[in-house]
Amino acid sequence: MSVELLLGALLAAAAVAFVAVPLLRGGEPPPSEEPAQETLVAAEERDRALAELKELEFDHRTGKITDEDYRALVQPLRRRAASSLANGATLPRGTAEHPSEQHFSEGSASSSRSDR
Amino acid sequence: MARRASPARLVVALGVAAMLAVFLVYTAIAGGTPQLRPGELNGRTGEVALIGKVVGRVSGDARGSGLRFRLRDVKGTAAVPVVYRGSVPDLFRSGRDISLRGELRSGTFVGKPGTLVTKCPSKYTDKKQT
Amino acid sequence: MPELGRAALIVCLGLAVYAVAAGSYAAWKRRQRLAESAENAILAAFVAALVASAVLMIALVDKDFSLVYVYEHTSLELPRAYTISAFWGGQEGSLLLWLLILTGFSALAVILGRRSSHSLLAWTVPVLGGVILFFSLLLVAVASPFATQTAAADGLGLNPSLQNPYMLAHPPMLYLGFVGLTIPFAFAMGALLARRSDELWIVVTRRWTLVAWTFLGFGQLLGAHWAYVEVGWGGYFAWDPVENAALMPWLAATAFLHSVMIQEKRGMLKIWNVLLVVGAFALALFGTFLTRSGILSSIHSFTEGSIGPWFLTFIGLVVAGSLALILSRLPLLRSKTRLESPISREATFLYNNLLLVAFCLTILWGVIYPILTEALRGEPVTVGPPYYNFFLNAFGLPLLLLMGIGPLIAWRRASLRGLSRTFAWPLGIALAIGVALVALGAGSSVPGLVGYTFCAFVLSSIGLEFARGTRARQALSGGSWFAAFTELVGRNRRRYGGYIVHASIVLLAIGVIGSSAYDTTREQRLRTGESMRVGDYTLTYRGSTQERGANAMELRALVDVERGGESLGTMQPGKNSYFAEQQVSNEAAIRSDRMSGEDLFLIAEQIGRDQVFLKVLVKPLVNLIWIAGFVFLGGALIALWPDAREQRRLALRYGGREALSRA
Repeated sequence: MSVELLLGALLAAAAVAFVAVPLLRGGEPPPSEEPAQETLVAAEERDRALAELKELEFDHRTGKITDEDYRALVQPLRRRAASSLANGATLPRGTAEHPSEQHFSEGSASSSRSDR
Repeated sequence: MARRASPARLVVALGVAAMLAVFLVYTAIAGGTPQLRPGELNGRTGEVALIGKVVGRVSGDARGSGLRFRLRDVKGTAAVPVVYRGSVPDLFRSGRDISLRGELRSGTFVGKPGTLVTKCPSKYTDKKQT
Repeated sequence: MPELGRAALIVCLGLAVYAVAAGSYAAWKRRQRLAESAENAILAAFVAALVASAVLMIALVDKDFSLVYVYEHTSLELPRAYTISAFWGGQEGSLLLWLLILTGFSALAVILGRRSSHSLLAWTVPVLGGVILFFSLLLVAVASPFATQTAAADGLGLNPSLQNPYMLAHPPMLYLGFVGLTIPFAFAMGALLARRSDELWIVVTRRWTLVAWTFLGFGQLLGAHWAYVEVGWGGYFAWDPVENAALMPWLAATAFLHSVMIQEKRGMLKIWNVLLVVGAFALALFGTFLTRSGILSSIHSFTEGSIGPWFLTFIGLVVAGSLALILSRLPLLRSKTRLESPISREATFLYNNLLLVAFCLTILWGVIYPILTEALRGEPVTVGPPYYNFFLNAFGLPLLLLMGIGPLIAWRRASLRGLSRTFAWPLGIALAIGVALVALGAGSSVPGLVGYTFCAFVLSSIGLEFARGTRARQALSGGSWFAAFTELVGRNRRRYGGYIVHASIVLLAIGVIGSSAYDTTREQRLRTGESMRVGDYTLTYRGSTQERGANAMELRALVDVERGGESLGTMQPGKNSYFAEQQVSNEAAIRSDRMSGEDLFLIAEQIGRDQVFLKVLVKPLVNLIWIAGFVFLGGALIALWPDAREQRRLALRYGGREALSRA
C-alpha cells in the first residue's frame, strides 16, 4: 500500500514540476509575432473573395452557370477581390492557395481596372 | 426598390415557427401514451403503457391462449393481473421489471401484441441488486 | 493499486483546477509563461488520467475482486476481451474512459494549437480545464472506480447480452465522438473570450469536428448492427431514449459541419455557428446524462443514480455560461453579408440546417415529453415510434432532396435558366426511376416511393458533379480520365469527400426505406415437416437440436429454406441459456442475399421437438445500411486527409513567422 502512495506522490511531484518548468525559465519571453485581428480579418476577406472567384470560374467551366450569369456575377466579384487584395496587402505572400492562383489574383486585379 | 431586411431572417423565423407548431400540435393531439403503474390504473380506460415488476407464477402461452401473470408496482404493493399475446423478450421472467401497452378490461390488463419490453439489467447501477 | 488510482485522479483534479485558474489569469493578463504552464497542466492531466486508467485496467485483467468495480462487472470465467470491455461496462469505468479520452484530446489540441496561435490557445485552455474539472470531480467525489471491499472469491460477471465484439467497439467509438465535440466547443468559447473576430477557431477545429462526427456516426451504425444481429428482434433502431441520446448531438454536429462552410465561404451565420457548437456539446453531455441518470425508462438503462443532478447542473452551467458569453460578444459576431436570394447554395445550406435542427429538437421534445408531462400533469406521457417516424419522413425526405439540390446550385444567386440546365439530367433520371419503381410495385408505400425517387435524384446529382468536375479538369490539364479524377478529388478533398459521404447517406436511406417500408413479417406455429410461405421463401421446420456450449445450453430450431424450388440451406434460429447468469438470449438466424441485399430474418420461440413458433421477417435492401457505413468512412477519410501546404499556409498566417518554424 505504501508503495502506491509513494508512486502517487511521485506522480503529483512530477506534475507540479512539469507545470512549473515554464515559470522557472529565466529571461524575457519573445514578443508575440501574431498578426493583429484587423490584418487577419482582412486576409480572410481576401481569401474569401479569391476563393469565390475561383469557384465561379469552376462552376462556369463545368456548366453550372450560364455565360450570361457568369458575366453578370464576375464583375462585382472581381471588384470585391481587387479591393480586398489592396486591404490584405500587408500580409506576407504565400497565403494564396496555389502558386498559379497568385498569378490569377494579380491578373484579375489588373483586368478589373479595364472595364469589360 | 431594395428591401432593407434580409429575407433570410424571415425565412428562418417562419420555418422555425412552422416546425414548432407541427410537433407541438402533433404531440398534443395524436401523440402520447400515458405511462402508469399498476397502482394508478384503477378503472382507467383507453390505451396506456404499464410499468411494473412481474410477480408470482407465470402461466399460459403467449403464442396461444395468452401469457398470464401479475404485475406489481416496482415500489409498492398494488398489483394487476395481465394477459398478453405476442413476442416475449428472452429476459422476461418473474421478478423482472417490464413495460407493456394495452388496456384495462374488466379488471385484467390486456396487453397489445409486441409491446412487451423488459428492462436490461442495468450497466450503471449504483448498488448491485441481486 | 487502487490507492495509486485514487491519487492519480486527485492529481488530475488538481491540475484541472490549476488549468482553469492559472489559465484564465494568464490569458487575461497576457502572461505567456503562465499560459504555457497552464497548457502543461493539461498535458499532465492526460498522464494522470492514463495512470488511473492503467490501474483500473490492470486490476480488471488481474481479476482483483477487492475492487468493487471489478467485482461487479467481471467474473473468473469471463474471457479476456470482455474483461477489458468491462472497463466501460459500468458507471465509474465509463466515466474514467470519458476522462481519458477528454484529457487525451485536450492534450493533443494543446500540442497542435501551440503551432498556430498562442492567444487563442490561452483562452481555450481554461475552458478545456473546466470540463476536465467536472469529470475528475465526479470520479474523485461521486463515482470512484477505486472503491474497495474485502476481496470476494468471484465476481458477478458481465451481462451476457454485453458479451460480444460490439461491446468492444461501440461504446468507445461513441465516446470518441461525444468527447470529440468538446474541442470545437472549447475553441469557440476561447475565441469569444479572447475577443477574436477572425475564423481561426473554425479553421483549427474543422478536422476535430469531422473526426468526432465520423466516430459518432459510425458508432451509432455499429450500435444499430448490434441491435439487429445480436438482440435480434428484427429491427435496428427503436427510438429508445438512449439511441436518441446519440442521434441528437450527431444531428447538431451535422448542421454545424455544413453551416461553418457558409461562414468560411461567405462570412455569414457567425452567431448561428457558435450556438450550434454549444448545442452539440450540450447535447452530448445531455445524452450521457440520459443514459446514466435513470430519469427516463429505457430498455438500456434503469437505475436511480446520484449522478444525474451533477450532470444537469454542469449542463446548466455550460449552457448559461456560453449564452452569457455569446450575448456579451454579440458585436464581434455581427456579419455584414446578407443572404441574397432564397434560391442559392447558401440558402440550401440554411434550409438543411433548419431541417436538421428541427429534427433534432423534435427528438429532444419526444425524449423529454414524459418528464414534462409528469411534472405538469402528474403522470408521464410517452411518445413512441409513430411520432419519431412521422418526423423522420417530414424532415428527412426534404433533407434528402436538398442533398441533391445543393451541389447543383450556384452561390449567391441562381438563375432559373441556369437551374433548368443543371437540374435536367438528375430530374429526368429520378423521374424515370420513379416510374420504373411504380411498375415494380414500390407504389405500395408512398413515402417509400418518394424516398427512392429522391435518392435517385441525389445519386445522379452527385455522379454529375464528379463527371463534370473530371471533364473540366481534363480540359485544363489534359491526361487520362483517371488522372483527372484523382487530381480533382485530391485538390478538393473536402468537397468530394463530402459528396461521397452524401452518397453513403443515400445508401443508408435506400436501405432504411427498403427494410421498413417494403418489409414483410409473418408469424406462425409450425409442426415438424410443416411449411410456411413468406414472400418468395418457403420455410419448413425439421426439428430441434440442443447442444452444450462453453457457458450456455444452445437450443436451435432447424428450418429448411427454399426459394423458387432451389434449396437455400438450413437456418438455425434459437435460444441460448446461460448457466452462470441464469439468463436466456435470443439467437436470431439471418440469411443475407448477396445479389439483392435482402435479409431473411428468423426468430424462433417455444422450440419443441415437434413444433416451433416462428417469426419471419423479409427485409429488402437492409444490407445497404451496413455497406453505407464503409462508404461513409471512406468519404470522411478523404475529407479529413491533411493537406501539408494548407497547414503551412495557415500556420504562417495565424501564428506569424515563428509558428511556421514550429509547424
